This record gives sequence, C-alpha cells and structure tokens, in this order.
Amino acid sequence: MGQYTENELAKDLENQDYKFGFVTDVETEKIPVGLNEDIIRLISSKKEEPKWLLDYRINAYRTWLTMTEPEWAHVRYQKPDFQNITYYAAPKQTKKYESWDDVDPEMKETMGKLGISMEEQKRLTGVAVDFVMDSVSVATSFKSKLKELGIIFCSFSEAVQEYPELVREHMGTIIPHTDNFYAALNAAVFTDGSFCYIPKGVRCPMELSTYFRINAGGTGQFERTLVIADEGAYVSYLEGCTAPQRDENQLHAAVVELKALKDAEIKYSTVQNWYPGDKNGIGGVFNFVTKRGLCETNAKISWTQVETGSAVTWKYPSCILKGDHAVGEFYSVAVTNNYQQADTGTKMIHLGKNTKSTIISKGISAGDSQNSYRGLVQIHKNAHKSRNFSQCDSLLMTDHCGAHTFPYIECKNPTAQIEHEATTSKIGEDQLFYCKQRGISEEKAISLIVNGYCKEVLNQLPMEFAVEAQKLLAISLEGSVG
Amino acid sequence: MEDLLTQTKFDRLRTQLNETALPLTEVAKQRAQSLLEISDFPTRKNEAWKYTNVNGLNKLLLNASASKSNNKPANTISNNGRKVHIINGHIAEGQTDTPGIKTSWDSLPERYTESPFDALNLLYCSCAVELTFDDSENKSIELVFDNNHNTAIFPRLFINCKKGSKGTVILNFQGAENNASFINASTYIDVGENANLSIHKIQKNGNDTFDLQREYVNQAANSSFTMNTFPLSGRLTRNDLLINVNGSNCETFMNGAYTLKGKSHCDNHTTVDHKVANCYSKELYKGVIDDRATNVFNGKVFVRKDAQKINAFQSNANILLSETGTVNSKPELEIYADDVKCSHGSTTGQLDDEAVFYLRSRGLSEKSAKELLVKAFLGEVLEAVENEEVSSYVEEQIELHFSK
Amino acid sequence: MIEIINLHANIEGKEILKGLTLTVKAGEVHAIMGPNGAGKSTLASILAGREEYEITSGEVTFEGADLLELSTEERAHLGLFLAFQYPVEIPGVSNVNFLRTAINEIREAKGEDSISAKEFMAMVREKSKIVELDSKLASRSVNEGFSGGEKKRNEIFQMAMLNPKLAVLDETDSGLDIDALRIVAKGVNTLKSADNASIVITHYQRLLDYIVPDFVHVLHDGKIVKTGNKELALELEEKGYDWIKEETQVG
Repeated sequence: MGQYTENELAKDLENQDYKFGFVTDVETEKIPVGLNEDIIRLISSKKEEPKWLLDYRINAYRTWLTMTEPEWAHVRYQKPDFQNITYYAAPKQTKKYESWDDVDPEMKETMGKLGISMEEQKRLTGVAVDFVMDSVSVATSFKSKLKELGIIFCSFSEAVQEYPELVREHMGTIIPHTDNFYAALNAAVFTDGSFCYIPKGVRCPMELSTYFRINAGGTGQFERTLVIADEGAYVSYLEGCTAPQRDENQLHAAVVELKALKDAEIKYSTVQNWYPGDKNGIGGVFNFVTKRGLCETNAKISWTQVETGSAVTWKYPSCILKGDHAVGEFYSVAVTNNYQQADTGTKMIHLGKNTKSTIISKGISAGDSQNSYRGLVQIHKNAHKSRNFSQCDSLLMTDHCGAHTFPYIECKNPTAQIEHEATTSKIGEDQLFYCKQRGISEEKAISLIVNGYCKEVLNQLPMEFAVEAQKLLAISLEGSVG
Repeated sequence: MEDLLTQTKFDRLRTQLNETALPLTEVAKQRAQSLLEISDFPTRKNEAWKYTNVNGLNKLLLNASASKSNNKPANTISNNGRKVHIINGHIAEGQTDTPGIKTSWDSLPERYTESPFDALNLLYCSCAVELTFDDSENKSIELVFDNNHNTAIFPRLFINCKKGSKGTVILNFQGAENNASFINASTYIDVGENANLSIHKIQKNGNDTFDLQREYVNQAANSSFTMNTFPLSGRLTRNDLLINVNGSNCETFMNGAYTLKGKSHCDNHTTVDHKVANCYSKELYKGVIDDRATNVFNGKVFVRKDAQKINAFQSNANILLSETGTVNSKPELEIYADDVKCSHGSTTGQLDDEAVFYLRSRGLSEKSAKELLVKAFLGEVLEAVENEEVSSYVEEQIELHFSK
Repeated sequence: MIEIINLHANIEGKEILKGLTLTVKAGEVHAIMGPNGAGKSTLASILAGREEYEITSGEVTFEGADLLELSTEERAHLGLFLAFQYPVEIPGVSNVNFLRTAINEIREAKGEDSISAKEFMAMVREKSKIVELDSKLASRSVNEGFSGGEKKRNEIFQMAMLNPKLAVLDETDSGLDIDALRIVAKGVNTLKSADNASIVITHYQRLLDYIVPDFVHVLHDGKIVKTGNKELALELEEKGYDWIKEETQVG
C-alpha cells in the first residue's frame, strides 16, 4: 500500500488535460484510404503473408460485408465511415532493430513521455516490452532470455513468418471471423499485434508486456493478439494503452484470443487510457474490442482491466470454461468522465463440470458520462456443480451521469449455483465527512475512497501496473465532484 | 382471401377471434388496427422477448361459443368483500353494476399503449370492468375468472384508487386442469395521491393455457402500491408490470412466487420507473422450477435524472429442481441520478444438501424434507403478503403442487 | 482554546441549539452531559462542520480563528478532532494509508514537509500501544469489519496520531464494555497535556470515573443549564435528568 505516494498523485493532478496527448513526428508509410479487397491484398503483400492468411482475410472481409454494426449496447455515437480510414500505417524504417541503441531517438522520447522508459524497465522490473508503434512492432527485448525457455513472444507479423503452423492452428479458433461485426473487420484488416506461446510446463518468469499506441492521424488500429499457454504453463501478460490527442474519432477494433490448455493459467491485465475526447465530448477513441479466452480442463484465465480512456468503449473479455474444473475470472474498474460512454462486462460460459467463475466489476461515472455493466453467465446442461459469483458495483459522482447494470443469467443445470449482486450509490457523504474531519481535502478524499472502492480489482494487477492504475483513477476523476 | 405469404402471425391469430361487442370509439379502433397491421409476434431479437416465444398461440383452437355460465363455479379466495364473476371471459349472467363496480359501457375509456397485444385486447375485448375505490375503508373486490372452455379471454380492466382511498383487488384466474385458452389481459391502474392499493393476482391456469397480461400503473404522490403475482400453472405465462412513479414520497412493492413444472414457461417482466425524487421500491420474486419448465425474470429499475433520494431494491431467487429445467434471470438497473441507493440480487441454485440431510436425519423422507425447504424458500414472499386469505390460498396451492 | 457564544442552530427548520455558551481553555477537560435529544451530538457535529446544520446566530472562536467560516478540513488542520459516535467504514482504504494522507495534508497546510515512511511507521507502532490496538488493525481498511469497541479504540488511535489541540469525544463510551472503556479512557488520559483540551460528550457518568473532568456541564433543550465539577456528574447519575428539567422549567 505504501507505494502510492501523494506527491506523485499531486504532480499528476496538476495536469488537468489528457496527460499523454501528443503526436510523435515519425515518418509513416500509409496506404490509400478506404477498404476493398485490393487494399486487403496490399496489406497482405506488404506483410509478405502466406496465401492461407490472405484467403482468411478475404473470407473475413466478405463475411463482414454481410454484417451490420451492432446496436444493442447502451452507447450512442456517430458511426465510423469505414471507407474513410487508412487501414495500414507503418513507421517508415523497415529494418528491425538489433539493439535498443538503434531505436529512433524520437520514439524513445515517446516512450519517455509515456512513463515507460525502456532502459529503466529492462533494468528494474525485468519486463520484456514489445512496443507497438502504430501497427508495426519496432522493439522487442528480452527475447533471448525467453527463447531459452522456449517461450515465443513476438509481433504477430513475425509469428506469421517464423511460426506459421502455430498461428494457423490457433488463430480464429476462439474468436471466429464470423463472431461479430468488429471481429470480422479485424480479421480482414489487422496489421499487427502480439503473439505469445508458452510451452508445456513452463512458467514464464517475467510479466510480458505490450504497450499499444495509436499514432498516425486517421489510422484505425486493428491489433490482433494470440496467447497460448500449453499444458501446465503459466503466463502473466500486461497490455497498456495510451493514445495521442486528436479531434477526429479514431477507431480501434482489436481481437485478443487466449487459449489455456490443460492445467495452464493465463493472467491478462489491461490498463486502458486512450484519449477520451475533450470536456465537451469532441474526439476520442472508439474502442470496440473482442477478447475471449478458452479454458481446457483445470485451466484458468483471469482478466483484469482498468478502463479510464476512450470516448466509447464496447468490450467484454470472456471465458469459455470448456474443460472440467476450469476457472474464469473477471476483475474490472471502468471510470467514465465528461461525455465518455462505456458498455463493458464479461461473458462466462460454463460448459465443463465443476467450473467456477468470479466477476467483480466496479463502475465509476462522473461528468455527463454513461457507464454500463453488461454480463452474461451461462450454465450449460452438463456443467454440473458449477459456480458463479458476480458483484457489480456502481458509483455515481454527479447528478447528470448514468450508471447501468444489465446482467444476463441463464442456467440449465440444477446443481449449479449462481449469485449475482449489484449496488448503485453515490460516494458516501459520511465517508467524505470523516476524511475531511481528519484534515483530508475533498479531491484527495474522493481519490482515496474511490481507490478503496476498487481495491479488490486493483489488487489483482501486478504491482507496477497497480500504481499506475491508482494514479489514472485520480486523474480521470479530476474535478468530477457534482 | 389474403395471401398466406403476406399474413403475419397476428393476422392468423385474428382469424380465430371474434370482434368485441363492447363500444369502441372509431379512433381507438383505427389506432389498434393500424398498430396490428405493422406488428408481428415478437421474436428472440426483440430484447423484451429474448427468452419467450409465443408462436404456440397459433396452435390453439379457440372455441368462440363458450358458455357464460358455469354450474360449478370456481372457488373464490375472499370470504367477505364483493365479487365479480367472469366466465370464459364474459361477465357472468346476472352481474349488475354497483357503486365502485362498472361492467356495462356506453364507450370504453380511451387508454392505449404501444403494445400490439394491448391493441389485440382492445379489438377483441371480451369484457371490461372498472373498479373504483373512493374511501379509506380498504374494501376488497375479487374478480373471479372462471375458465372452462378453450376460448379467448380478453379482459380489459380499469382500477382507480382515488385520492386518499384504500383498496384491495384480487384477480383470481382459475382454469380447468386441461384448459387450453388464450388469456390476453390489459389492466390500467391509477393510484391517486395518498392512496393505498394492493392487487393480488393468482394465475392458476389450465396446463395448456397461454396467458399474456399487462398492468400499466401510475402512482401519484404519497401513494403506496403493492402488486403480488402468483403464476401457479399454465403452458405459458407472461406478465408485464410497468409502474410509473410520477409523484414523490411513494412506496412500491412487487412480490412474486412461482411454482413451475411440466412444460410450463413463465416470464415476469417488471419495470419500476422512478421519475421523481424521494421514493422507495422493493421487489422480491422467488420460485421453484421442475421438470422441463422455464422461468424468465426481467426486472428493471429506472431512476430518471433529478429523481434523487431513491431507494430501490430488487431480488430474484430461483431453485432449479430438475436436469431439464431452465432459469433465465435479468435484473437491470438504469440510473441517471446520483443520490440513490439501488441494489439488485439474483441467485439460482438448488436446495441446501446439508439442510436436506439434517431433516432426513430427524426422520423426514427426502420428499417431505425437500417440500419443507421449498415452502420455507417461498415463505419469504408469502410473508410479504398482508392479505391472509391470499397468502393461505397460495400456500395451499404450493402444497397441492407438490402432492401431485 | 475555544469559545462558543450564544450558538443557535437548526436542522431541517427545527431549532436544536438555543443559545449555547461554553469556553474551554488549554489543559482542561470538559464533560457535557444531558438527556437524549438535548443537542449533545449536534454540538459535536457543528464544531466539526457538518453541513446539514444551519447556524442561525452565535459565534465560535477556535485558536483565534472564526471556526464557523472554516471548512471541515481547515478546522482539522487547526487541530480540531472529532471522535465519532458512529465511525464510518471506508472499504479498501487501509488505516495506515488513511492516516498518512491525513497527517501529510495537515502538515502541508502548516507548511511542513511530509512525514517520512520510517518516521510514520515508528509513530504507528508507538501510538497503537496506547490504545492496545492490534497492529493488524492498523493495516486493515478503515473501520471495516471492526467491532464496536475496536472502532472506538481506532478513533482514539487516530487522535493519538493526529495529536489535536481540541478533541471532541462524541459518546465515545456508548456500546463499550468495561475493558474497552478502560482502554479508551487510558488513551485519552495519556494524551492529555497542558497544551490541549477535550470535550467529552456522554450520557452516562460511567466514563467520567476514568476520565476525570475539570468541569461538568448539563445540556438541556439546546442550552447549558447547569455547570459544576465532577460531583455534578455523580448527582446526575443518582437522580437522573428529570430534576434538571424541572429546575429549568421553574427557573
């Protein structure tokens, strides 16, 4: 707990506006605006992809054409013009860096501003960072160490070249391109992302971390991540994002697939802090993400997310508990302020016997924002003695925001046990008064109480992420008192 | 002859129905007609009907010439208080209007909604009853729906509890065991300022009966309204309870208990819409699901902007007794004001094995141990029912449910 | 230390304090007793700055400042401490983090540097002994899952950590068993000095066996109607409050 210093917080509080709002001036190579089969062929050929992958993309594109944008979520926004997006942008230098010293100094500066000085991270935390600038991976570290253990951690494009069989075997098996509108779009136009494979019985000794970043103006980002933990393996994967300040909306439609084979465990943590738009709701990122994990027998997948950014978020990290004794967890903090809208939650699909899921969701709404929890707990016929526990709490900071809870509970097995609880309330006046009586200012008291309110979720994050997340919560709620 | 291909499911249903004999205004008729023309049966894609399919309505054979009298009238629940007998959807012969009870009409009140089933109810209305409470005596009126023919039972009810008045209404639907009717009821309820109204609805329908009911409630300031719903049997039961809390300092209570077996499908949709500040609402629905039965619960609490100081609680608990039963529960909160305390809970599970074992170790058979625990589980709802005649009737029915 | 002159206050239009006057000097312990509904807890709430109360007239001077003009936290910065009758639970916020934030905010207000982690932890160890508070409680969330007695001990622990000029103890004895009462009283007595003062609000004389007051005031119907020494408390214990009520009506 002592990690959270008030000085750091105070410093951040000084910066009223979006902290990471800047544009890096790296020359980028773009392809023509718009989307058609030729563009997809161009992306594929630029990436020197095998034919099966091009076929996969074209097939997904044709499916996408038949689909309509989903409208069931509790969000309102101007639909993106898909013909007005550049689907590929790569920093111009094509050469891969051999060492950190070779990296463009300007890019290093970007990372400095992000507060993830790579040298520091390498030295102090032992985090291997796969930094994704726009769509091409430009720096990968700790690769050799991981390689000794047989762990593959590289950009998706690299994996396509180096480990085509692995990619081909698993890609799209958890989230087929037919899954939904945005998953289909991603399958057609994804440019890069991360790939991770942990071999049988290997426990990955370090947190694997990828920082995503949207940079070139007008380029949507279509990341694709595939993490496979083979039998008995363990990995903790961190994903954090920041985006530069922009006026036009930017579309982000990522796909993340996790596969935990027998006895394996994947911990996937996200801190999402993309540009949320300004105080009047102008600009900001559209974050339409499909994330899903599959658990085989006795496997475990745990999603932890801290969502503070984006203008519109549409995201349901899910678990398919296919094997007996599989475990799924979802821990979420979603903060919305100004005109942000979030519709987020999870799906826990219980197929195997004795499967267990836990959902802890904390929503905090401020300003004029709308914050919804949407979740599905589905117990299938054969999921004997399965258990689910869900707790969804919402906190309202002003009288003009909204907090909503839409849980779907479907049970077809009489031995299953499902418990769902939800509460909605405003921040406790008594708690605020108590803090103030002890000399704590209102702003700091709110930060303290909100962080306490989210503790159960924040506790799930690796330490360095937890500290960052606490600061983010404080920044996101600045001036939010109603 | 209309082309079969362009016929909607409503069109097909309507060929079996007889137009209402009650006086409708031309405007009302037109309105309902045009709503039905653009509507079809709801499908899964319609969020409000995600778990309930009404296509089976078109398999019913509805006999239009049902009798308006019955030699062996159905049992009533209340001993005292006035009663209105409605046999196979029609006001029983000999029923006359008395103060507070109106069954004959010069023109039906102009009340409509956007529901196609409400429009259908209007056009094919089999009876219309208006109940008025205008003093603080808490009089009780029971409507007994005695259904023994396979027919269309389309009651249109208006319940008005005037300013400062009290009232109790029992809506007692009794169907013969194998009855295969289509009940389609619309009830408009107005609770005036400082008024206190309780409605108890018993749906003991025949095993093949489809029962779709809607209650539209408006609550004025300082009023108290209670709706207790007991779907006990029937092929498909769907209740839509929509309560608009328009005045401040109101209390709203919604209780439900259901016992489902066979192929029953029961769906309770409730919405309490808190439009103004300083109100309290509490909802408790509990039930047991056996055999191939399915239960759906969808409770929604709205708290509108500026409706501060709302305390709203919602709870749904289910016990699933069979391998083939299904429970779908969707408690929802939609909150646009900040100074509120709202919560909901939903549980689905089975009887506590430990408790069953404990009772058996004291000499109870497994069956009676389970029965005892189920009754205790549903008991929480019955305790919330102030009318003892109703609660003891429902208790008896639960007893019967298990003895069969 | 604090001077309250002719204080009148309302809540929801109902007058609760009807001209209360009280002066407390450094080094003194004042007990305020009175029947239920006399306005005892209202006084504590107003001193700490609860916003529900409307001050209709009167003055309160604390350490030379106009107390009523200050925000709740500014009052705390000047050294006013309220031991709550019902301490609130703050889930997820550890006692230690809470107190460190409070101490640093108070220091900042005074233009002092923040407390170092080492100095702070040493202080936690030292002060938790005063109220025999298990060090585990210090790392748990503020008051969450604490028993009634633990909550009250935690209030005194916080008082020890914040070292206030004036402590207002609002029915700190309510709901305490005899052992907890002894510990709480010991804490208060240990912290007593020539520079600070306390106002002990209580319904029963019991607490005053352990915390010996210099003055005992009887609050009735929003006013102090009788002032004496600790003997007055014993008299009240023996005779109840009715005679006071009668006396004031006659008077």
